Amino acid sequence: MTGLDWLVLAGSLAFIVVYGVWKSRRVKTIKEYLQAGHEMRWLPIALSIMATQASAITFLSTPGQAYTDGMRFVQFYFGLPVAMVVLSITAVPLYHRLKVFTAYEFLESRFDGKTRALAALLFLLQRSMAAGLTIFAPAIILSVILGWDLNLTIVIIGVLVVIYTTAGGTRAVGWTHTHQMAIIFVGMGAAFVALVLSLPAEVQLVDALRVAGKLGRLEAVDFSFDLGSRYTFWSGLIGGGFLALSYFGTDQSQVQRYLTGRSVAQSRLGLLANGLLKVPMQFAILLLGAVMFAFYQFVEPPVFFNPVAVAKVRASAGAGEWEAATAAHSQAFAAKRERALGLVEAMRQGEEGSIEDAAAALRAAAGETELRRREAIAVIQRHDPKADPSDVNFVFLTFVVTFLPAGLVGLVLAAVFAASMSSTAAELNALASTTVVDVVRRLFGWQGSEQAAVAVARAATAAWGAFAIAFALSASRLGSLVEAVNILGSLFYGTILGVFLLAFYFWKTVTANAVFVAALAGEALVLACFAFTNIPFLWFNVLGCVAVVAIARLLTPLLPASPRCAAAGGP
Amino acid sequence: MSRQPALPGQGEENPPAGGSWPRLYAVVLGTLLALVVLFYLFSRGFA
Repeated sequence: MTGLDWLVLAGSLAFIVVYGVWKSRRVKTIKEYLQAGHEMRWLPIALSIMATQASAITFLSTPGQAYTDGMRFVQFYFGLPVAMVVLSITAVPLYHRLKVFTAYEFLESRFDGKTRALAALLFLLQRSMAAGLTIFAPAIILSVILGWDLNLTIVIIGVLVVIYTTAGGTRAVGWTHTHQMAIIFVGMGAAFVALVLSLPAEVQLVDALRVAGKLGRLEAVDFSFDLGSRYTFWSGLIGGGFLALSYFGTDQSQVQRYLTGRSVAQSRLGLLANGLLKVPMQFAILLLGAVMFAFYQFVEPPVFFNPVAVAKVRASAGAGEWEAATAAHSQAFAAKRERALGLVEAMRQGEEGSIEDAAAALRAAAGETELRRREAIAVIQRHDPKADPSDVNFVFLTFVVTFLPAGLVGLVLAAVFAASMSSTAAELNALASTTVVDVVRRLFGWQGSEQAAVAVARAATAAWGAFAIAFALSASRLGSLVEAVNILGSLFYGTILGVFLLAFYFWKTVTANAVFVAALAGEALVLACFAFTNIPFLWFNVLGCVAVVAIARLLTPLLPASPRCAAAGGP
Repeated sequence: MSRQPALPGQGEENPPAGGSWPRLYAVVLGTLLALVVLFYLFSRGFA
């Protein structure tokens, strides 16, 4: 990194922290601290929703996902716009009408305190670990690629977030999200432009796309109903839809974002704007990875993108074996490059037969190169059995630090930090809200003054920040980080969604006791399926939800309502 | 956290643009459909 890169990075981070603290300097009531005084308009809400969901993992891991697996991951988001519409119709007006601070308050009005407590605790459990992962994921990638100290990177990201989130609460989180998204859009856009400009002179963008397409990296939509395939149109629309319903409708880190809206209309518009923008944004990030894949058909990539693993094998007894494997890979790559240029030439000539022949030759050469790469990875694993064979998370940042000009590297890193901080801030903010509203005030019955409540909320934010940093410091290997986070969410979201579904649509036909037992049984079922089956994780969202609804309906005749609940009813 | 009473008619306001909420919902879902078709054509076009 050059001095200019450091200047851009440090300047961006300092601006975010100072702006967040300054913007929220007049926060005095708990409503201002937890709901930003209900003053937000739809665009900041939409950007805040997007910034919360799009963590650094999204920008670091997703291009690598496209590089190794193609663009089919975009299907994961197909259910999201549908969920935005459903929530705009159902959840938004209801939450606004009930004037709730957290989504879990709503459950008590429908069922009882223990169901509210269970949902809140499941959220705290899942989201606190996710907050740790949100810090850990970019920190490990930055430390490996740039040689920074991992623990120091984790502490810096965590402490910066804790400063302005603790000081300003929801208002600081919301306003900094707007600027963080601007940094992210500019950074990722600049990276894409730089990538296109880095293509060899004889290769245009359309050529690169055709090469990526011929090698199967642009297959974005798969309509097959294959339960064994992780990402298909159907798993994305149905499983991804359930996940999005649960995440945006019941996860306090998102609910809190649109509850800041000054009216139902502003909150709805924020969600709908997210529904319009999210899928194209993910497609663009994946396209970046696919074009990077094409770029590396003409420019030799590292055999393995994790430099720490490579350094280890070079320093081990397997150094000679590694060098031989690397030389074999280079030789295979040189042949593949010739085939790729041959394909570009054939496509320019436009003769269908020649194109297919050239594509077949390129595929064969690509297969040979991949074989050599796997042999090299096998060398790494032989000499370091604990080494992670996946380098998907290091692909994008390796390109950034190798090929981007001075200044742009700092900008992309600022975007990565901004993404990490934006998600973590929303998570800490939501964890603090749930702790104060659902645990301290409801479960423990504490009722203090406005000033004391704000102080407790600040203390809770700082405490969850410390927990997230500690969790990040102890996190271990996780494979593809973007998948790790989504898998963790899918273990809990189905159950929580099932409870909320009952609360929204079936609350008159089930009892609170049946819902509570069904939630415990549904969660146990999901965890058992995760431990003992190979069901793709997106389906856990459907499974948990359906199980909770079905079990609650079955148990209702056996578990009648308690007198208090029967009398209380719902709104 | 004490709840304040709901205001009559709250939640029924019209969108600031687009005419009506059902029309805006249709725009979001229609855009999704168009994107799926575009992605499919994109995949086929470069395969």
